[in-house]
Amino acid sequence: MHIPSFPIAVAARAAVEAGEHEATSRPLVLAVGRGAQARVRLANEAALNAGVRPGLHTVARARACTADLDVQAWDDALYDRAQQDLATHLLKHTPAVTRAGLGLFWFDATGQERLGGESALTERILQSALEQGYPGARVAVASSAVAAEVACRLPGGPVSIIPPRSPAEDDARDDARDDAGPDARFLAQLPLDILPLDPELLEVLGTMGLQRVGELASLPATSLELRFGAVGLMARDLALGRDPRAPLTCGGPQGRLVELTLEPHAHGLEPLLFGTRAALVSLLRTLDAQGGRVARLRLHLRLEPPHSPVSRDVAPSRPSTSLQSLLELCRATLEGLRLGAPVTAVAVEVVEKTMSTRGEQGDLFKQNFRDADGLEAALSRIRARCGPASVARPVLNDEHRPELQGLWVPDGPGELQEPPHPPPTDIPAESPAPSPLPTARRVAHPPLELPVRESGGRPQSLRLDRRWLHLFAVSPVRRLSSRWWESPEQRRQDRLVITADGARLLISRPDLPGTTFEVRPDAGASGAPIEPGFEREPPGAETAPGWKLLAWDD
Amino acid sequence: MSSPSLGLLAKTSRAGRIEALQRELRARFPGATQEISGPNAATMSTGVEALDRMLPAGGLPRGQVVEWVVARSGGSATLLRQLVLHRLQEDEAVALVDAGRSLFAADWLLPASGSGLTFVRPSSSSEGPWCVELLLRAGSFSLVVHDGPPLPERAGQRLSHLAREAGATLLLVRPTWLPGRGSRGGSVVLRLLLTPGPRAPQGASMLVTLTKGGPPTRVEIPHERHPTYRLCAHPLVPDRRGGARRGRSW
Repeated sequence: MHIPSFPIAVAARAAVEAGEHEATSRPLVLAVGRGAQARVRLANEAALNAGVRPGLHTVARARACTADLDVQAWDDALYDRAQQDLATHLLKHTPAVTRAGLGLFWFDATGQERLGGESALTERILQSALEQGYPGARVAVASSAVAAEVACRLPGGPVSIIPPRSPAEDDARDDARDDAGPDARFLAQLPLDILPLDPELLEVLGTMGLQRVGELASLPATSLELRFGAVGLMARDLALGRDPRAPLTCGGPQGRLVELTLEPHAHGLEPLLFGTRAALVSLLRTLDAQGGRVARLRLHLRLEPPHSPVSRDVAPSRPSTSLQSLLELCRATLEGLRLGAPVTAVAVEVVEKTMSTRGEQGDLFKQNFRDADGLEAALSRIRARCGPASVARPVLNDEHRPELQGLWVPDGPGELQEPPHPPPTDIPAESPAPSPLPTARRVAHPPLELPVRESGGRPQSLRLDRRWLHLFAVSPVRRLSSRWWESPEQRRQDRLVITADGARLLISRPDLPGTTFEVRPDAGASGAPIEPGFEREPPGAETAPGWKLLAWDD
Repeated sequence: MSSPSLGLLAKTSRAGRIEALQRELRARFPGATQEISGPNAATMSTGVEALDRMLPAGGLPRGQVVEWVVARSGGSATLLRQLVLHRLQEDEAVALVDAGRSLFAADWLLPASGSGLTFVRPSSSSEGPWCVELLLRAGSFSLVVHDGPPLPERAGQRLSHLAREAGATLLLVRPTWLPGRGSRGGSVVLRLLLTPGPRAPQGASMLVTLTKGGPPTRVEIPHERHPTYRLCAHPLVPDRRGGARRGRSW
């Protein structure tokens, strides 16, 4: 519904309520500014007939046009209250009323069949508007908000109804997806500037020779996207009568509904799941910040016009913030749906949420009582400050290079958790500690450059922690290369050495072509035993380049 | 009758509040409460019998700061792994802040870890004390480990206070090869020096020396390499590389 010149209508209504019925026929202007700078912003029909030009004339100039001019100040707060009062009054006719601009209202007109259909609804709305003192209201019914708004603003009778697509058209439209039906046909012959587009875009389209809405709608989407990006696609959607604005998306509680437009429109399950996952990630992040958990979700699927949106509820067995479990439930729900048209947008709404409480009970008499909520809050702060990878868990890695056989991966609430690998079979999980203890290791990130002195191809000493250390034992060379599909392939020599003070180090250097090295029968994949080396550095030792410290026993 | 909460408020630390509440409950419901045993003891076992025997109280003190000063290959990762594994087997929660980012991931897939072991690896070692502070304030851990450069003096005192309040042991593993000057250790009640043991071609050992918190004593703890396990990436592809053998270096 649109009420033309809504501020004038509000002023006229106030005059009628005050009993000044003759005032409605007098010239009236609404002015902004003070004193000599006051300018006319809006004028009623009598003032316009007297020659007053809103936007051009000052109040003094307007008074010169007509002597009995009534001048009132423009009052945003007054118009806001009047519009809110009217919207509240009209709410008795339809479940959703949205204020869409000054004097503009959107209604949800679906499901009115039992009350006489759309025509009866328009009559009831017009009657209510008249009772509230707005005789100039116009109502239009269409499948999209843009078509209804344009139909309201066009001169003509108080009611315009653009009928929805017939079932026969609906069946035949699979081959022509860009035909949005009656709304697009209604808009096609209208001038382009009737669409709510950016003025700069309108100017560019005008220079391209586009005059009518239908000409814009007939352009290929790809060329518009290449030239104007998302703005061009949105303009084309409006020209085709596809408008994402609707009463459904307005008025939801902040942060509990996330909607994603699917472009191109989804014809299968995978694009839908992709959109659902993105919406869930955004929603769970917001919920996590609020300390909430999802008790019930609602999936909204917006279909191509004129099909009505489809909604389905998804409820986990207990409140959850697990992305994986919620996504699986959504997948199961979507798999069971049979939709009559491609999906243009998917929305995920949290219908019920609970606070982040856990099922486990604390035990006051145990020292190891864990405050799970406090722990999660602390870890969230650490992740926020040090990055999501700062809270980590270890995983095994299928890698022949020793220092890469274990990796740290992020361990967070949004991460898809893999089941932990079973412990090695020859280490009983609950057995007492073996004696002696298994040696653990440390790795150097990044590998540490090591000055190493060699004699006859064998390392003799190295400089570590600001001092030179003799090598007590040196293993034979173990040659390794990077994976064959990596380019360039990197070959290297590894040695395990023991320094004179007992440090057991894994050192490595690139395996240069032509390098000679010793080969022992037992120096293969099974590893090599340590053998005693030289206690003293031989006099002929030379510094060998390229050695790095990778890891050490600790 | 006075409210029991008034008495509880007088105690500031968590351990103190719990103790007061336990007394109140025992007084009101005699016979209905269990006697506390095990984890509520004043010390925690390290899981290494020889080391426990050497320590003055038979283990690491709870609610206090313990420091390990470790040389390269001094066995700190080996001993730390054993300590953490033992705490997890006792159903206690452990947080490990790897500020030096040097722990080898494959060594820390502990059989009993479950949800009781939390690893924090800050991107910068300077964030380590802040992470430790948060973990202590969370009140969920009986052992919090900081493995990395020495802590600044003021951070050490603050963390010592937090450890006392949380009833948790704060273990500072301070490698000697990392740069930085830390606190003088005024808040540390027990300090151990870990160095490599007598060298031997096969097998190894660590020497643990008590340098603060008791009469200077030393114990040698042996440790040895175990075979390196490689993960078969795909469950349907048989691993034909053969089993690992003891004595393999890496």
